[in-house]
Formats: sequence, C-alpha cells, structure tokens
Amino acid sequence: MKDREELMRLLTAFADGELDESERERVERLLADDPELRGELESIRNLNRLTVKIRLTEPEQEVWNMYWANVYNRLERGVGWILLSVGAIILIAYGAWHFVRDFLLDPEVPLLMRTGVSAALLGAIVLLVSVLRERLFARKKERYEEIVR
Amino acid sequence: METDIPSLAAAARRGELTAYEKLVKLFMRRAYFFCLGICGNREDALDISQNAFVRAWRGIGRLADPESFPSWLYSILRNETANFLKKRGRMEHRELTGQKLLETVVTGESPDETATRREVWEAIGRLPLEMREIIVMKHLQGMSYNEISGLLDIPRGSVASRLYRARAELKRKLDGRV
Repeated sequence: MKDREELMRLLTAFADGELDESERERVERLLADDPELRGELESIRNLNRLTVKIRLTEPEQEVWNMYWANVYNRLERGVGWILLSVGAIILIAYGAWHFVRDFLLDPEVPLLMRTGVSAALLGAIVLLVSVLRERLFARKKERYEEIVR
Repeated sequence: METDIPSLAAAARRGELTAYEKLVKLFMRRAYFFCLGICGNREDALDISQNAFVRAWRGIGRLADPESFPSWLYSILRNETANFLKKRGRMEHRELTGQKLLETVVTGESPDETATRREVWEAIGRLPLEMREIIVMKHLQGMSYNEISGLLDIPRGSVASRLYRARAELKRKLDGRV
C-alpha cells in the first residue's frame, strides 16, 4: 500500500513535470513495463487538460484600483469601532450608575414611577437586542441571496 | 515598485503603513483568486481576502521572520476562508445567479467541452477544503510544487501526495468521466 502511494506520488509529480532527472528516468522505466501505470498517467493527464482550461474571470479594473482603499477603510473602521465601544461602555456604565443612584434609590421618586420607568427601559433593551439578533442572523443566512446581477 | 517582500514585511512590522500597502498590492490578486477558487463567489472572495489583509496587519507584529510573510499570509487566508465556509454552513461553491466566474470562451472549445469544464469547476467546489486548496493553487493559480510547498509549509513530496489524493477524489466526483 505504501509502495503504491509512493508510486502514485511519483506519477503525479511526473505528470506535472516536477521530477528531477533521475526520478523521471525511474518513472519512465516503470511506465515502459506497466500498462496499468500508463493508464493511470493518461487519466492524470486528462484531468490536467480539463483543469488547465478553467479560467476564472478577472474582476473589473475598478476592483483592483479600490482594493487597498477598501482594506484601509476596514483598518480605520476597526479603530473607530474600538473607540466607539470603549466610549459607549463608559457612558452606559456612568448612566446606569446615575440611574440607580439618583432615580431608583431616590425615596422622593414614587415607587410606581420607578417601577414603570424600569419596566419600560428593560422592555426597550429586550426589544433592541431581539431586533439586532434577528437582523444579524438574517444577514448571515441570506446575504446576497436575492441579488441578481 | 519595490518588490523585496522580506524588506517590505519587516518595514510593515515596524508599523510602516506604506510598506504594507505595497505588500497588499503585491498579493491582492493571488489572495482574491485563492479565495474565489475556494468559496466560488466574487463578493465573498473580496470580503474574505480584504479581511485577511486586515487581520494580517493587526498581527504582523507577531510575524517572527519577514521571509515567511507569504506563507504566513496564506495561513491567514486559509483560516479566513475556512471560518467563512463554516459560518455560512455550506462548504460547496455558491455562485450567484448571472455571476460570470468562468471565462466562457476558450479557443477552439466545443459546447461539450465547455459543459465538462463547468462540471469540473463544480466538482472542485464539492471537494473537502484541504483538497480544494491544493487543486486551486496548482490548477487555477498555476503554482509550482516549490511555491505550494513554501506557502503551505509542507515538503515537496507532500504536495505531490496531496495532489494525488485530491485528483483521485476529483475524478470520483466526476463519476469516472476523466
């Protein structure tokens, strides 16, 4: 089995013109004595002939012109997102702390008002998270699916 | 344009963005076509390859040897495409309606040959990822064993073994038509 694997490795490299002279001569000797091996070689060459004809289309020049600009924008956006996230975390934490200290724990604010505002706020957060999750999920699954070019 | 890749990689590692821009411009075609061969979709190929360059810039400080920039970049490209396919939940090629990925006219080709060529392309898209990678590098990107061996960081002998296994699987997927 190991010998056959080694033989096929040599034959593959032979078909691709990737053997040095001594290995090439060795494969040529084996081929001369073995019709089955010649069949294998022909089969590899047939496949190569087909795959060599596959040409992927070049995108428009505009794509290459804008390529670096797009990479740069993503780099810049990455920094922007980090700063935005840090800022948002600080502001939310600060706001939450004030909300609890100055509103929820304030005995002068009626209990009904505190309960109502807390419930409304919690509901808004749940809805926002749910919509965001749904959008993200839909984007991952359906991306480009309906676009016809 | 300066094309000394190790010097550019070393400069990029020091934080020189202009050097990195040159590297991106040197590798963008190879990166795009590699991703296109793997995922079979132009927009995704652009998205994945550009993301890979963003990741490479963020991680370039960890690149120990600037000489190995190409293989390091390819390892990022391979991870990005694998993660993308995993997230997409579908490993096969996904071509969009009307998206022309294959050149339609090859000199002297009959309609039958064109159809077979398309079948081969579709069969490549159904190969397991590791096999698809090596077929794309060898057949669609026209790389030599030395180049593939350098980029995948495997011995030349392993390139031939992997190619043999990948081609055998491709033949099987083509249902013995080769």
